[in-house]
Amino acid sequence: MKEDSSSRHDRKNGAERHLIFSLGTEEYAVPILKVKEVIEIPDITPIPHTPRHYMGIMNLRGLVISIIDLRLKIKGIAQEIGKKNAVIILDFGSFCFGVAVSSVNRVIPIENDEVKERPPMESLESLEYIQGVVYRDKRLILILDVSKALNIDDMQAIKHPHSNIKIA
Amino acid sequence: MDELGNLRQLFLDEATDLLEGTERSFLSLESTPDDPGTIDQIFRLAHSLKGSAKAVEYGDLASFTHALESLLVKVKKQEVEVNRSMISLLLKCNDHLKEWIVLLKTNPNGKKSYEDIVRELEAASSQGKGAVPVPKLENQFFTEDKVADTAPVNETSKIGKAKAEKPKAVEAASEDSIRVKLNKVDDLVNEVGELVILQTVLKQQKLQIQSDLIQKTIDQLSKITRRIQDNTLRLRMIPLKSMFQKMQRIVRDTSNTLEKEVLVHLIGEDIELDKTMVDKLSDPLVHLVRNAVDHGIEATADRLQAGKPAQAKVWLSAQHQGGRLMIEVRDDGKGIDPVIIRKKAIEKGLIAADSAMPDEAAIHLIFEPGFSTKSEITEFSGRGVGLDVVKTNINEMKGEIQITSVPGQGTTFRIYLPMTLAIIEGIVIKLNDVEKYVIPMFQVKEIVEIKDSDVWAMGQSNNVFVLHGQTVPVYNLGKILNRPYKTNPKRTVAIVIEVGQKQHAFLVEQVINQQQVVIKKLGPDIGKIRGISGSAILGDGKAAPILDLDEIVTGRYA
Repeated sequence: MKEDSSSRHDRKNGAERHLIFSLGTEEYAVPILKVKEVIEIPDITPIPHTPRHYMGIMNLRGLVISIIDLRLKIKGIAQEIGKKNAVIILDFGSFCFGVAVSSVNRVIPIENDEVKERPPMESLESLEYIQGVVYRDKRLILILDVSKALNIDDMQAIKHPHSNIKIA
Repeated sequence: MDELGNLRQLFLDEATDLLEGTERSFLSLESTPDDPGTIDQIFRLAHSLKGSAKAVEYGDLASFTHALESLLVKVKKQEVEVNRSMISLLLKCNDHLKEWIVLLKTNPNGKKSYEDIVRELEAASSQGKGAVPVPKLENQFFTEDKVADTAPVNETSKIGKAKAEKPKAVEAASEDSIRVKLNKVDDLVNEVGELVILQTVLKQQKLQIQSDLIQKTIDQLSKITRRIQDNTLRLRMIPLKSMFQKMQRIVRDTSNTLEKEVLVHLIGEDIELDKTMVDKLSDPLVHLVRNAVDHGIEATADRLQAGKPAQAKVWLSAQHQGGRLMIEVRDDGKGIDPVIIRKKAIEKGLIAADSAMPDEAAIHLIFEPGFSTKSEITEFSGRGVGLDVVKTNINEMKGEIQITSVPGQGTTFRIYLPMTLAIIEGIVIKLNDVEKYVIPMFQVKEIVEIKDSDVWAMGQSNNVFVLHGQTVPVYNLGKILNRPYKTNPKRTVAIVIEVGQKQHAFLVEQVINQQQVVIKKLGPDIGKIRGISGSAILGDGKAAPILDLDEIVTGRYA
């Protein structure tokens, strides 16, 4: 996943560099500015009373961060953990956390006018987390709105449905 | 920020320190009115405050301190008498200045009126020796006009004699110290925390390394890391002095209002504690101290009738005890009557009418939510928040609180606190083949190995076992946490904890070791999970949750 552009700042107007990764067969893009780093699947410690997509916590050089199975979270299919899997550490300013993805592919600049709107769909499923789509090299890339996909409010709500510990 | 702004910022920080110094001196002036050292000290502090205020162009503040200084000149020359009302006036000025500084911190151009209080100062300076009026024992601190209109009573000598221990002179402000922002210290503490974790990983892998030299170096590194850690944590420690002083002030104010005569003894005020803990400790301590003066100490008439001296005593002390800090609030008041407590508890339905609870356990009932033995509400106590809040606050600090009381002789509250919040002594346990958890040592009362046959079923899904003749409920930790666990282990380990005088036991597969762990919060993305208080990084470099067994047990009743 080396960058294909030689300079850190793209001269083209409105082009922002994105990290492209796969969840199963689909490709997604997140702005590189949100990405702190990409690591192999680490040792993950499960935490009791959390939903299934919450994989657990890990030690990132002394920092304890949460890892979420992004495929399970947005596709409802659990990740098959293999060699190509990776964890993308996303930076939310005050805290970081990791999302496990099927594979991390490359970094590309995406121009604003290249992004098409998500078409209106007859579906009950919320697709809010898809900001737009880019068609490039005969492939469709979905631009992911990370905050929506992993909605912070939603995350704070992780605790609620499962937190009632009962002593049997 | 412009240059003046910078200077003002410095001034405000400095003034905050100076005012603490003056408050301390005013209070010691009350017990030693003739000590020229104390008066000089006050004079110096006030003078430097005035000078600095002028330098940073706070004209009003400078004029006010000037008026205060004029009075202090007279005190110094012994032209006016130092008595209770004079001290009250000086303390009032001090409070006024403190509020002023706080105002200026938020609003650099803030104005505060000071004419009224200056008039009081002038009135006091013009009285001359022996003529400064002493108000009755009333609330002198929050009313504006009480000082000048009451009959003079000379009680200087009495207060002078009443002092118990000579307060130390205020340390000079020019101590060898530097002011460092707390977040810089915190960054350092965090980084050292990481260093400690890496060091632990290294130490555990030590035996896999062939070279003796490297093994030895790892040992040395580990020693020095521990020293760095200790020293770094010490950076966050501040003396209890200023908090104790605040308590002294509260006793003074509360006892004046309640017309009780109370003397405070402060012991161990130089002992240091983590800054965060000192801040958190303040509210519970205020509560306990007010409680002691209001509820603990009898009205003066009752004291005399009981053959006790009219002047009551409150002791506030701090001392190290077995790696923890013990803070004690003691009074020589009427004590807690277990009979009354028991009666009240039965009324409130907290215990059964025929409960055979021992006295010692009964008095701890006052920590139960909604328990208050004094029916009328006074200004200082009984606002609906009771000792249960104190207990909750102390528990949040991973501490514990105990009471002992002798009816007729007084009550003692003892608070035990860990020395720091950043690191705890923990027991690492294995729940199943892979999962490890940390249990804070302070929660664990006992660890016993038990056989499957020691556990008896009770009802449909409850189990108990017998420990030292007591029947203790036992829970399978794996089942509670909803994690995989062995169903029929031949032997298992029970972690026994005690919550509110009751014991509970948790079965785990194995206790691995006991070690110090650096507490890491779980991220905001995961929020609070009941029964888990944080996480820690273990020697193998893996993250592990820290359990809160007290919370698991109390959660059952919630």
